[in-house]
Amino acid sequence: MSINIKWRQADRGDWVPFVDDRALASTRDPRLEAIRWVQALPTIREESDIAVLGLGAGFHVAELARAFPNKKIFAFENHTEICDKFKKNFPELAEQVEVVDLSEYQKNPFDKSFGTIVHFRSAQQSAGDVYKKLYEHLVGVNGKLNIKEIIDTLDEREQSFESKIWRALREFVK
Amino acid sequence: MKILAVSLLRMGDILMQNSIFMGIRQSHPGAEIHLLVHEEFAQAKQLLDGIDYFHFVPYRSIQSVLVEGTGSLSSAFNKLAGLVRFLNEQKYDMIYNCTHTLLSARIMDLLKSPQKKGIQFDDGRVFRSQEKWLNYMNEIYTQTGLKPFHMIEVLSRAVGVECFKGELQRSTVKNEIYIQTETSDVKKNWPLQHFKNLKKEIESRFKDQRVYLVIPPHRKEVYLEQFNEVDLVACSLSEAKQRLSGARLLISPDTSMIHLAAMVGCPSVVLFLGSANVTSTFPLQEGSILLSPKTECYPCRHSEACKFAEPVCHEDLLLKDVISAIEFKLEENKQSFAGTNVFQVTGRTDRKFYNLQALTGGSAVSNSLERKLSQQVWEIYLNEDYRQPLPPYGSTAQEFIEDFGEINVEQEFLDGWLQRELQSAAMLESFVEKFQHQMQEVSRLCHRPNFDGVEGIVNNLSHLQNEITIKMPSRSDELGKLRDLVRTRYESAFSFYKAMKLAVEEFESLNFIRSQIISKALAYLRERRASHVKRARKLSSVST
Repeated sequence: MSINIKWRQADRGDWVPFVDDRALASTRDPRLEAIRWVQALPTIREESDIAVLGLGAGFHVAELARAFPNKKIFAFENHTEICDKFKKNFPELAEQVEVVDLSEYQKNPFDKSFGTIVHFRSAQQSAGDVYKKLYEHLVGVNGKLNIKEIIDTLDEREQSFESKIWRALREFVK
Repeated sequence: MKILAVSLLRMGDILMQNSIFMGIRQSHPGAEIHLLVHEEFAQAKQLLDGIDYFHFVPYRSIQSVLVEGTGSLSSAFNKLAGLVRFLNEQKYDMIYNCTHTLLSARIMDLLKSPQKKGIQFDDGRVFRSQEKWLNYMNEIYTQTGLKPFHMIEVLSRAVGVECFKGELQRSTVKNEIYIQTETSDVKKNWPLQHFKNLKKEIESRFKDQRVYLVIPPHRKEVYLEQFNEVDLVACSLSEAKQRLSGARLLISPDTSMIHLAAMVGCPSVVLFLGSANVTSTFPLQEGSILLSPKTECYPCRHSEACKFAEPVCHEDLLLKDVISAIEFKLEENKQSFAGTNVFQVTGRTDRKFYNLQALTGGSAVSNSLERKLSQQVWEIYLNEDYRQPLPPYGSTAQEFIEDFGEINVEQEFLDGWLQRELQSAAMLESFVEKFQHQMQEVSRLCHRPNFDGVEGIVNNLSHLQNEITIKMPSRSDELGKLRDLVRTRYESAFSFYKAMKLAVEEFESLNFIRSQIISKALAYLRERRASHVKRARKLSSVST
């Protein structure tokens, strides 16, 4: 996607991307944000791959890869420039992390099953709808994922319309 | 003004809630009233008169996607999201949740309105209401046992709607009696053979009455094995409603049909078996006759299967008592009953709540008295009338004596029953002291960051509340919150203390209110007796 991305330094010195003047990761300490994000994640299922929606500065994906070294991670990102930057900044993760450029994926979607689909909200600024549709798409094509697992991927603090619908749907199977 | 009522239970509940929907209509005559129900109960559209628009939750189709995988999860998502968006576009001024389920509470969280009543989530958090009736409703639905109020009476107060009051217009009554035999739960069904015998008996005793079985069309083949085709009315609920509107009587177990009958003013004799609770789901119609077995395990839990191969309560509800109840209803003759508890619904027109007047002696009378007293105790507590400078104990006691003292409860029995209740209340006071002593022990441990040392006290509290429940099973309703709390796991002594303190205070208040009403009732009863004796003496002196 050809949107002008600006890179600015966070307080602790790491580079953080900005779109429309909105930071796609913490402007104080993106590494600490990444650690906390991974700690707050729901249970990761043993047998399958993880999808991360939103790449941002990339530290959360790197932290996730460090926490789950045996997992394959698919990081979906709306901006091509950010995808390229991640590949450049984290070459050691090339095998474990597959960066999926959404503009490419929309042209040629692959049918893949994920045990866990997680949002990185900071990186979804101003493109919430795009990630919402991606999430629905991944859930829809993903025959193995059930409603309980979707609920498990939701952050308890997340109170968007979509999260509330998923939680209401959970009550249909109780 | 636009109002939405949410009713996401079964057909029987929707029909039972009609008096609330009509109450909404009565208090907002010009409002546009919408009702949200599950799609499988779309027939409600033909049955409820006061609703302007119906909306349906595609429950089964969403469930089949989620459980059986018949479609993509996003299709289930879109169905529910589409419905919620549509409802929010209606811009309701007020939404009433008449359902007490988590699903309805989650849907309430999604719906937008300046005023939302009933259970709901608020941005994912359980909505903590200051409304005591709403909290009480949440508590009693988790418990079994006989209840002081009809479910609708509690719900109407919890959502702040007064139930419909008004006369029902009946069409010309024909000499037709309808029998409905089945509910969706086998535990609640009286055996079909008993109904067959009942039909024969009615036909032999009431020769001018034509007796029909009203059945769902898909069950016709099964009924044809036992009954003649001319005796069967296989029809939809809307046709059944029409037939009942001119019927002399309906005889049925606890099912949607009894609420349909109440809606059109058809008298009914209702058989409560298994988990069908005679005290909380009876037809909201004065004069309805209710029969329930004296079986020890009645009423059982809705979600549990019967522990016996053949439900014992089915045989404990006696055919001859059902016939006597029908005779009582049709001929208004006093009847004697052999071994079933029989009640008549009374009290709505001049009382705030429906009463169950016992038509049999023994446990039915005690149940009836206990239900009324509990009703009064809870009402004073939940309305916070006990905090008034002059709490209405006197007038409440007077109402109690008037309701029972002149109907069918002998003065001596009533006096003895009240004396025993007063003793129980005094005994419970000593239990309250024991509870408070245990709470002092907990308060000493509150400085600890964990739950260490509290386990022993929890056991003591649990033992105390078990002791009360065994000695005085009728108090299980008042002990409900306490019991739930001692079963909950707590992180710290402080959080346990905070929760328990409120529960003990509630129990203490309820017991205090109870003893005040009983004392006043005893005094009132003696005063009345003294004035009767005085009048009798005066009359005898005049005659001599």
